[in-house]
Amino acid sequence: MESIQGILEFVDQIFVNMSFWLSSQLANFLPEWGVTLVMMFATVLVLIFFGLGSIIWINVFERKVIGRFQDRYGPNRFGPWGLLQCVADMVKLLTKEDITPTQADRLVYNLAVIVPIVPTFLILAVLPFGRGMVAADLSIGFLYIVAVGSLGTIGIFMASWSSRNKYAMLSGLRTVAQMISYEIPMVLSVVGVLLLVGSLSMVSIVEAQSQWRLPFVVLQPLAFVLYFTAAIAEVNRSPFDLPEGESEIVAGYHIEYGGIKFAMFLLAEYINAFSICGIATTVFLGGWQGPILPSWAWFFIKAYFLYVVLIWLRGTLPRLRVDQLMNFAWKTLVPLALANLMITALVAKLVPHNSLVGAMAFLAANVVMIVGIALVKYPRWKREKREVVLVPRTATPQAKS
Amino acid sequence: MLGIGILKGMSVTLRRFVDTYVGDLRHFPRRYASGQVYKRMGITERGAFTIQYPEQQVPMFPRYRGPLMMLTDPEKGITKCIACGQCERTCPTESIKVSAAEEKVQDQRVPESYEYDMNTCMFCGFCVQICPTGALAHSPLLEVGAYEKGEALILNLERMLELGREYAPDGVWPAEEKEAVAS
Repeated sequence: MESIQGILEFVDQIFVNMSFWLSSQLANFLPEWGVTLVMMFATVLVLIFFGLGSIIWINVFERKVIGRFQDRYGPNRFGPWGLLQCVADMVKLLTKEDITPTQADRLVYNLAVIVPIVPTFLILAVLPFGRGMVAADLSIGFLYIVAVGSLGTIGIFMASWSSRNKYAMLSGLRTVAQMISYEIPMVLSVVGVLLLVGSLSMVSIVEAQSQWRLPFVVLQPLAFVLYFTAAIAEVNRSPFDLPEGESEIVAGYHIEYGGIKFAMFLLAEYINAFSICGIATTVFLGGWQGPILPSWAWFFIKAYFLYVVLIWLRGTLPRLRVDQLMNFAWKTLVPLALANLMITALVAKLVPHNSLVGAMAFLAANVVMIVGIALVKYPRWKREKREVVLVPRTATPQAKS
Repeated sequence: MLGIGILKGMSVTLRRFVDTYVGDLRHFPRRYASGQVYKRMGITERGAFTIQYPEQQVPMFPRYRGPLMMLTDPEKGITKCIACGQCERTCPTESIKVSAAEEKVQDQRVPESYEYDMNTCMFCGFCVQICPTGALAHSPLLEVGAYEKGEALILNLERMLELGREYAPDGVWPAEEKEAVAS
């Protein structure tokens, strides 16, 4: 029994031990500041390679899963089950001709490619991937995420403005409006959790959930839904992909970009989508904690589960209209987030912390709040009884054979 | 509507997601099997709609206008064509060239050569309509692409008869008309 626990402990801490081993090896022939410097660069490199590596297969994964949601197979031609599709995509994107529009602002146009990528990698720095596996455990972790996460908008706006394209410009305006609207409910919904934790550090958020012995999604289900919705809008994914909106404004801000530059935008988008799943995992789903499996495995299981939910939403919901988008943010999400914050603060004062009773009280308060809002917003007399007309299902014409 | 509607929609897509796997299991070897799929999947059927094209093919519908083929009279054992040249005259793009043989075979005029040029053919079907003996028909060939224009796309008499024997061995095409002729 102890040997099994030893093995589990070893697997759990394998990456941490590797980094310790590397730094102790470096200490033999480098001064102390040199070791620190090299370890910093090593961590950054690992994160960047993780980001680049994960997009390669997240792309194929997303295309295959969304294919299944839409009653078709995804890419299945190249490699076993089409898993090498990413190689074909990469070759195609990298070998394409690089065109700059003559009327474009060349400096900003080329700079805009790099700007959205930087914050995506910066966010990865504070995500705790496992026990002790966090590149920088900042005491202001969540504030840092909020601050850095909104930087990506600047890149998108630069791209849209500098390419001198009317569709791109529309997309840029939409992006900025969307970011400003959705930043507020996204932050407000997490403030409830931060109230319970009493710290902004991502690691202490995870550890607080082990003190409660429950993930915060049980205590704050409404906040979780609010955060996830607002975060989807924040990273411009469907159904909030108005800045991209293929059917209205062609491709939005990256309409004039091709080849490797387009790939950079794609990279930023996919890593952003993964990092919001990572943040939601850390804040609401208990982060790295879970039975038996090593901590980093739990983190990735939860994060990728949320990613599948993201793809699922993308496969289900149509894109919102611009006015619907704004209405939804300001009239639904912001009041709900404020109400949630108020109720959380109230209940947190009344019930004992770190106990099952307290958790149940939070859950009950949330349920009462959701039901109450549903009753107030959609009262019984307002619900129209619509006649549902069923259209008979007709099969496609069959050929006689 | 916002809450329940979204959940309903998500349950539908989830069912579709699971159904593709169920469908794969049900028609297990079908997914990459070669050969024809005789039926497109109906709306109510489970599983993925995709037809894996080069491996699986849907048969062409009866009124499909493919390249021309020449039908053989099964009783006489020779072509139905009497080399009247109506097709040559009616062809808007002048893609057909017929020349009659000097001597009759089994009391019937026969073509000596027949050249059908797919380079210029626009598949209007006038020749098939005007043919007095019903000797011409559209074959259900789909993959008629060639790497170059020219000789590869010109069908001669032998090739057309071959197509006719392959797709309509009893000298009637399309299959719909078979019943009309019989009754």
